[in-house]
Amino acid sequence: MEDLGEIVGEFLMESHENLDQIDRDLVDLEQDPNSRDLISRIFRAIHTIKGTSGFLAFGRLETLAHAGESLLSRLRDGVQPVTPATITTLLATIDGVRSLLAAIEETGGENDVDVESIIAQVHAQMNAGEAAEASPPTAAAKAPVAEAAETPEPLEEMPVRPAPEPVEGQRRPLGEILVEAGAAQPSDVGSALQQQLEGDERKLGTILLEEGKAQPAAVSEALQAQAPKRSIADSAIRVDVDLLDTLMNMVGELVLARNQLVRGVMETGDSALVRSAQRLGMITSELQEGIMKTRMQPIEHIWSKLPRVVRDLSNSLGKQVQLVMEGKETELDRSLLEAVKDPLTHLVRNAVDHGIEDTDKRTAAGKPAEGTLTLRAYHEGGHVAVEVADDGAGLDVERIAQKAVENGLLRPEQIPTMDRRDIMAMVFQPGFSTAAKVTNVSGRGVGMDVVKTNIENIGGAVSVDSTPGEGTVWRLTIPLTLAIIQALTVDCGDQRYVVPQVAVLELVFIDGQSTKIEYASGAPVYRLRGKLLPLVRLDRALGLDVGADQGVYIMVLQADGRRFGLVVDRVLNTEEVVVKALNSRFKDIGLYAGATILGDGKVGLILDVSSLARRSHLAADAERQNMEASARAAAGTGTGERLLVTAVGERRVAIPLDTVTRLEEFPRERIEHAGSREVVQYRGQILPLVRLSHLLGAYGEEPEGDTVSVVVYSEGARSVALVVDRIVDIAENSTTARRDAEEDGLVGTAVIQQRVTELLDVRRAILAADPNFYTDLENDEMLVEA
Amino acid sequence: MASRQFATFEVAGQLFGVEVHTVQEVLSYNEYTPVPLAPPAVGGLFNLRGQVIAAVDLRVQLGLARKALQGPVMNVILRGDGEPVSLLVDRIGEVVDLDDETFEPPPDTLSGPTRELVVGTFKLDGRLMLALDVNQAVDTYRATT
Repeated sequence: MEDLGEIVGEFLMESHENLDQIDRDLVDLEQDPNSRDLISRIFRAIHTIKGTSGFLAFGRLETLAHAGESLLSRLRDGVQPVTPATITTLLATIDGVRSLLAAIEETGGENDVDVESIIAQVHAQMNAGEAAEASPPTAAAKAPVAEAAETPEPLEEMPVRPAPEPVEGQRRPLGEILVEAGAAQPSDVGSALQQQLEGDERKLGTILLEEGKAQPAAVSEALQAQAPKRSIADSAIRVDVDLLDTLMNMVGELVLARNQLVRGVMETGDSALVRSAQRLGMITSELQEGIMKTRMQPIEHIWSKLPRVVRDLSNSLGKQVQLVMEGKETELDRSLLEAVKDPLTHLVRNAVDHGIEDTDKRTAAGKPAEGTLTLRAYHEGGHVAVEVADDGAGLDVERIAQKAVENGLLRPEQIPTMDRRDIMAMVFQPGFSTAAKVTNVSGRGVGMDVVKTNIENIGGAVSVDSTPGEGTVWRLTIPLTLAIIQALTVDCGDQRYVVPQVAVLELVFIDGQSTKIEYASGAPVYRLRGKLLPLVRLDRALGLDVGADQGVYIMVLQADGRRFGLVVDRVLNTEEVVVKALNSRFKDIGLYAGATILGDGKVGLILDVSSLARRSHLAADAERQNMEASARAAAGTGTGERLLVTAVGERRVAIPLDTVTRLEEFPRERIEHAGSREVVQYRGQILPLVRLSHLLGAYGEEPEGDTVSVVVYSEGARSVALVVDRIVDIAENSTTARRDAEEDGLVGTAVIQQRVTELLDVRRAILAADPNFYTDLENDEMLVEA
Repeated sequence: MASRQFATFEVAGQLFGVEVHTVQEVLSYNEYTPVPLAPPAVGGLFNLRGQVIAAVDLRVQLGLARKALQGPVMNVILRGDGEPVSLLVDRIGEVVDLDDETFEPPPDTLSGPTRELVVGTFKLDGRLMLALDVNQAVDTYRATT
């Protein structure tokens, strides 16, 4: 590899990209055999490979590419129809090119990769085409209906000479833009195009201009309109991924340095310095966002290989499968994409092999013979969800349960009380396979557990749901990026720890009176809305001195399907932290997922929530019962809306939890004034504040302390912050004692946790903070629609 | 005459040395984050210009009591295998050029944990310097297994 010239390296990289595209295009072409665009694109890509390999003296590669090109040119010129057999031959050609490229990459030479047999195959195809050519294509064009049965319809237009190919396949024709803008008559454009076909070498715009059919300004405008499509290719450069990783790390450091600096500067109180620091803060945030973006790639990158996988596999199994992709532009961090690639391929193969039934079975079940496999990707609350859905027979829950009992994973008496989804999740257990027969594709009991492990390794989750007879949906939930996570910092003993926020469901303060820790024969538990929540004391888990049961916080955490409460001394704030890998000597301890540098420059350990749950001897059975209990509870009382209870002066004010985006603490001195409003700088934005005490007329003593508690509400890119005196709790509003409001700013009052609590009119509070909050949003939406 | 350069430092009154090329830098640092449940030889973690570095307490490695991590402590940061590791020491000494002929294997009377960490003895003017086996010295599982 070292002695390869730069040109060869570039050629290899470019060719690999081209080949992936060709793969996709060929599979598309099979679906749409008359697409001239597709044929042209494939032709051009192969032509490029042929040309460059000739130039670099890779003779065998050139010969092979040439053979492929010859076959393609016959397809392009309509001499020969596109059939599944030609597609197979062309795909084989592409595979040949791939192996040659791999040989070149490894050894620098072409070695003895077998190209002759492929070339022979190509020639056989061309001869087969020759035979079919007995009926001349021109005749077929005149009488397509008569010939259609034998010869698939040739391309509709048969120009005297091939129309000039657009430079970039994706560009919109100039004529179309001109006609649309009303700057040229369709008939003039048509005649100009005709001239080109007849051999006029001038460009379309030139013809129109010289014949006075269009204004120069209009033409240049149209050319510009055409340009952006092209500029994507022109303005993009290749960047080494290592460089991006380095930049990403450096930006991570910069964020930390920024945090320290801002903190220090705030203490000095020098307003000029504070301004500079704030500016630095905003630039850093933008820079961080920008760098993150450079590492983002559309998921299409890993999906692009799947049409081929599905085609080959369904052909070999004699099934008909249509692959549908939704949301392929959804972006993910590069390193995550890599990690998702294999699990996703496995799920797709599994769905084609086991999910979708044979054609006969499908027809018998009254379903279309062709099965549909849908890949879906979308953003969902700071995560990306990727689904692989088939419309096959679905999972056989009873069989899975039976198998789980056979394998000793479950006890027979557990089955009746278990949720269907929990039973289905057994397929992620190692060595679990219900496939009646083992094929070379899947069913060997390896795979699903690997899928689960791989996805969990990157902080994601896997789940499966299935409806008998209608199909199965495999769902991967993947974090947006690995490097920076939202986290809560907590104190335990005299040390600070970091808990990933994804695992945190809610926080409860234990005052020892209205909320307290109880013991069930020594095991600490907490009654969370009437259900017992097993507790893990962080200090005990870490082998530190065990502290008091009062004045502490419970973090309700969920990991590995277990729900438990982690008892910590204090919960500080939420922060974005940069995850640093820990040396393996600490990984073995099993309690830490990594480390990070905290705002004060010290190292903080990131707790590994799932191993904390495991280590703390949460008995699996007790836990399952607990989950069932909570599932039943959710089913029973699930209507109660969850509320964030805050203290404003003497009053308790509840805010629907759905409308709360985040809870924050701001240092009092960070509050600035813009006109008559109070604002605070927050994540590179100006966040308007509204004090609920003012809004509700609850003037009184301002609470003491250096920080203010705020509830942040965001919609789209806009956020507002509601200032409260204190966050009290999160509660479920299941009471019926409720009265409509007589007071402005409230929607009513209710009794929550045995105390009268006012329900905030959130919309009004937001408008008080930012009168344009909703109007701008609506305007934005209209802009999008327009 | 072949000679080698050693960076020297003191732990519990004894002079130790490691070859200069294994040392990345030497610095004093204040705040260490303890790692509960880690092997006892792990003194803590600290932030070296954004990098998380594990500090190995050489006293524990030598079979002595833990070093109290109050106030500044000297770190000898070794390049390590892939990532830097720090040794917590009492005091930094000089960098010395030593001829190979001043080298002798560890004396037979040297025993206990120290024996496993030391590759040999250099006879300096007036005192002895023990040359450390860098890999052994940073192996925090050594003492416990």
